[in-house]
Amino acid sequence: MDREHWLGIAGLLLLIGGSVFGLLIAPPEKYMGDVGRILYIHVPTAWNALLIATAAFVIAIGSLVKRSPKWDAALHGTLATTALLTVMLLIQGAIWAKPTWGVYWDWDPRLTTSAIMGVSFAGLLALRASLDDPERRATWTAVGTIIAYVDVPIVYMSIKWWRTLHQNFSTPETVNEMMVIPLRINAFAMLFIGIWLSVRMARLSLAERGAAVPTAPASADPLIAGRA
Amino acid sequence: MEGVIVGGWGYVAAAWGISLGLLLGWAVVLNVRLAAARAAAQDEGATDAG
Amino acid sequence: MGVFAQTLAVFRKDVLLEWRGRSRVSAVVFFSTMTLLLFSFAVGPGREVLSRHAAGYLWLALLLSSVLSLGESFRVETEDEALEGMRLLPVDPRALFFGKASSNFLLLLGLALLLVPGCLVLYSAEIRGSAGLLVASLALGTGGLAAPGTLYAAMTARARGRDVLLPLLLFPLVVPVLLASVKATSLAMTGDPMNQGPSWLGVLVCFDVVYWSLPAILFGRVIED
Repeated sequence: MDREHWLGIAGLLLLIGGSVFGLLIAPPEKYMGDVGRILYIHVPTAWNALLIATAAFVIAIGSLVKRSPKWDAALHGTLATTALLTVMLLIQGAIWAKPTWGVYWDWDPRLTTSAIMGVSFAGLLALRASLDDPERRATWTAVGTIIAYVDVPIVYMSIKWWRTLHQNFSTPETVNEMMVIPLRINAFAMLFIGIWLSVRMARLSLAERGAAVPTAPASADPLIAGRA
Repeated sequence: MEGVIVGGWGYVAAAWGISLGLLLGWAVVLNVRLAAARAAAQDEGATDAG
Repeated sequence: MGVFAQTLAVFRKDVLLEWRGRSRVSAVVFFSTMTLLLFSFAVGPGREVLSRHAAGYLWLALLLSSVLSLGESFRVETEDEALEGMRLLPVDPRALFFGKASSNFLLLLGLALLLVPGCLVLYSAEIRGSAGLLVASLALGTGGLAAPGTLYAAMTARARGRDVLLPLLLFPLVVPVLLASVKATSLAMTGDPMNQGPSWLGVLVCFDVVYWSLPAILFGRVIED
């Protein structure tokens, strides 16, 4: 059995444990009531989306330096997982926002930055799909990842400033001890699951490396199509 | 916001359901595709050797 | 030939090419003017609304046009494998990047300056703030579009589905530029009583410094074999 499955199983068990704790054992939040329980999955997802995005950034630098298929596959894996976690966190955030803020979307700096980060990383996956030559694909994905990641704090700061001119929303801070426990458990749960997903995707990327079926007309340009 | 939001388990269920659904769905797709890719690689290996 | 001299050479070549192919350039100008018109049709003829958001429409028109002009700047290279030829010469990739990005910047800035009177006329806007703030916001903003746009244009110039790939990669990246430029330009147009303009210019300077230096470092890897 592939070694990453141990992490995956651990992650799944932790997720079950943390979710049961958060949904049934922890007390309801002061202002949000039971709706606040969404944070027990939302916050861990958000933490790990950013964490795995950072891993993608580091791997991207490594991929440029090492120029090896394994590093490129690892990059592909972390990019895909980041994109998935970002989609999840945006949906969770919107569902949480409706009862608490009254609207699904509010241009909250963190959520908006996540949306932009999500589109950026999805764009990198689209770039990958449009390139046939594996080496070029590896180099350009890595370059794109570095640029997209460096942009994240800049986007966050600019949206924060942009927003403070209009409204001031404070995101809720949980203080209760009983609330920290499910958060921590689920944070590790999502981390392990995230790593498991990234490794699976990396293996898939490596296995499919030479056999990619193009979903757009091939480029006549040897720069893109690779040398024969 | 004043006061406590009463109920709202529907939202909680939606958030968890969609999250788990996405995770599970993606995990299934990944592993199915990986198994297929590995099987294809094995077939190719057999024809090369055979 | 030092990097600076090479940059100048690339820049002059590109500007010359733009001038020789100025029908292409004027096409982009017409496109952006058309976009300005489309916004007013979409939003309605209410003078109040249009003049209040004139800066926003200006920058959206500029952003959409940049995709066309940036794409063009590398299409020229792809004809007759010109980019390959340049790579075989000992041109420092940083010079290639700075030269191309500078000529793209010049083009976008020129376009922006042309669009300002268009906005003033179509949207009944005025320049109630400082003209200096206006020019600075246009310059720093188009600079923030040109540099990363040049890098992405190089990557997507011959990729499959290139036409949608360039904006898909560029737009999320330049959100800070859009925000800050619109804010600064808007303050220049509608007045800036609390002098917030300089802080938005600061955001633009930050962004421009990062996104003129980072792509320069990475450009070599992007165009290598």
